[in-house]
Amino acid sequence: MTIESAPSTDLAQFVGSLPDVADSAVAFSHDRWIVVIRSSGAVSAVEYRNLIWEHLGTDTSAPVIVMADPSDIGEVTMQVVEQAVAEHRSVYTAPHDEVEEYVCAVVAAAAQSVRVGVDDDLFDLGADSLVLIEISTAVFERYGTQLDMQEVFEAGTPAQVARLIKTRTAG
Amino acid sequence: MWLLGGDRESVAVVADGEAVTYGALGALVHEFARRHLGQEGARVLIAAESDLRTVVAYLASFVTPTTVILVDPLSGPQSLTRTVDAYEPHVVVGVPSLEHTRYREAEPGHWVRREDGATGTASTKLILLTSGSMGVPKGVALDEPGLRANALGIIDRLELDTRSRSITSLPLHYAFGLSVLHSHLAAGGSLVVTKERPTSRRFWNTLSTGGVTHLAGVSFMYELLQDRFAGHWPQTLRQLSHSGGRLAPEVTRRYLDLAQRHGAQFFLMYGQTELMTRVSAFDLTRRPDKLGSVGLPLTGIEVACDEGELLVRSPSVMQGYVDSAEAIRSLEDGRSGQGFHRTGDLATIDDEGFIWITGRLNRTVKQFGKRISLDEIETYLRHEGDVAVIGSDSEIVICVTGPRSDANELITRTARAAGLPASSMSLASVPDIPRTNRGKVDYPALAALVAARPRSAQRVARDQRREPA
Repeated sequence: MTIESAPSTDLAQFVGSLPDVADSAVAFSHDRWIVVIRSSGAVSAVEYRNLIWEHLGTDTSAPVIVMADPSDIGEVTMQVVEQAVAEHRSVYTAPHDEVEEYVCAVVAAAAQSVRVGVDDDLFDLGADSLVLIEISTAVFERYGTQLDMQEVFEAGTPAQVARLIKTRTAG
Repeated sequence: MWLLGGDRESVAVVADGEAVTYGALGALVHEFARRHLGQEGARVLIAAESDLRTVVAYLASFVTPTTVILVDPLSGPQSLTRTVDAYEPHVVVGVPSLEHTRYREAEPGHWVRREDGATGTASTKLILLTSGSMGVPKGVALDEPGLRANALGIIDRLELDTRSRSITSLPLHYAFGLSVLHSHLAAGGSLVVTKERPTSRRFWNTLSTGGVTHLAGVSFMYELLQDRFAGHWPQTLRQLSHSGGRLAPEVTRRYLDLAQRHGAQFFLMYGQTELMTRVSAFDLTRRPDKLGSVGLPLTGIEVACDEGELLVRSPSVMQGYVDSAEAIRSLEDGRSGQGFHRTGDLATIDDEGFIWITGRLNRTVKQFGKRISLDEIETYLRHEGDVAVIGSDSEIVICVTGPRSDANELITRTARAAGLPASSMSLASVPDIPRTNRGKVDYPALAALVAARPRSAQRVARDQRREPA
């Protein structure tokens, strides 16, 4: 415990300094940080995740974010994460295959995010027209699959974009 | 000053969650003008980011005899340098770095020209750049009476007042986006200023909680956000406005239905930068029978058709095109003429005066609210052999003779250069490029050839998918 107390204070301080954070709590469990944040909702969970991950170093496991009031939560554990609704949390899921890997990398570069997981929501990442244009073009460049911007946006996540590519290239 | 149309105590701008009253905004504007623009007038170039600094710098040019040039904050350093070289601004605002020997950084992001060129008051208040990313920027020079007349025309048609509040859903260097600022501030209403784009959760949070009553957008925004509007209609939203190219009838109908259900209005508009910027508008919820039209001309604007082309006589017509500081100085005081401006758009006007856009006369198309010149794309491809480009608002077709092994690479490269997604481009192989006996490409014949060619399996699959379920 004494080993972790110092970085824990460090991280708590860093989280408190992030935009729109009203209250927060952090805990280290199963090899990764769990961060609970209360805010007005202006910044999405995935944006907090990436800011904190960048701070910790992306060679470590991704932190898990839960958007909730820390005073409503007793102990911060993985159970808290599992009970949160999908919109109020961000758990990084790594790509499973080469297509997902490519799409995640393209989205991360276009959206200027440190790392993008397969289940991250493009809407949360703030994918504007330039990001969608780049995804569409980069997908075409590699796979020859034409996805228009509405399809990319409606797919919503890198996993779903990858699924579209696989369906089209198979047919 | 007419752009500060509200009471001292009422809110003019909300930026980063902070409300700025007309009194406070006026003070910032005069302070900026005093410090940076001087009495005798300057040319100021603003990288028009959607933030308070841009709004203040922009409004400051209206309290001094200044000419302001608005540019896309995302245009790269090369394009910025080209614009600076062309218009020789005395002050450059909102640019983090400017590699130019004639400019020194007076404050962070704020650059001043070392030796002042001739200042001299010009009648031009605003220069907007119309060209796409591929070509040399084409500046449209507008004067203040024209800008004001257009703002008043919009206020009148949309019935804007001190309770109206909009949001920067469109960039401020884009005429339609700028007209939202003009009309709301001139009406004494307010504007939420945010850098977030409409396709992000942050934008929607601001939209939903910021008391926004009016939202402007181009087709792209409305197409992408259909489900979001249907599921999460922002409570205070009372007006939608659309312009900047065709909106598919089924999408228009969906928004008409949504607007009616929420007691909101849905304005369909038409405009052109050369006419700063709005020409016509109507509320579709009042006249659903006019779906597909762009409405009636704003007060003070007259329209006519000449051999199918839409002509507009407006107090807001540009003074002319300008490509240099010299061109601004030598503009005749006043406008390019009191006559009709040729829009290049094909239209019909029905017996009630509603305008229906039917096509385009010149070789430009509109995608994502942006004007794209087919000739510029053709020029870009001039080293690729026998190539011609045709297109519509939904697709651009690169026509080549014979098969090409590098088709995908060519599409990708061209799309990137034009700033369009690869999905809006395709390649068509034709036996030859038809030409007129004077050697020019016969575009109608080429379009017929392309339409007659067997469609690729992929294309057909896409089109089938797009049919409404």
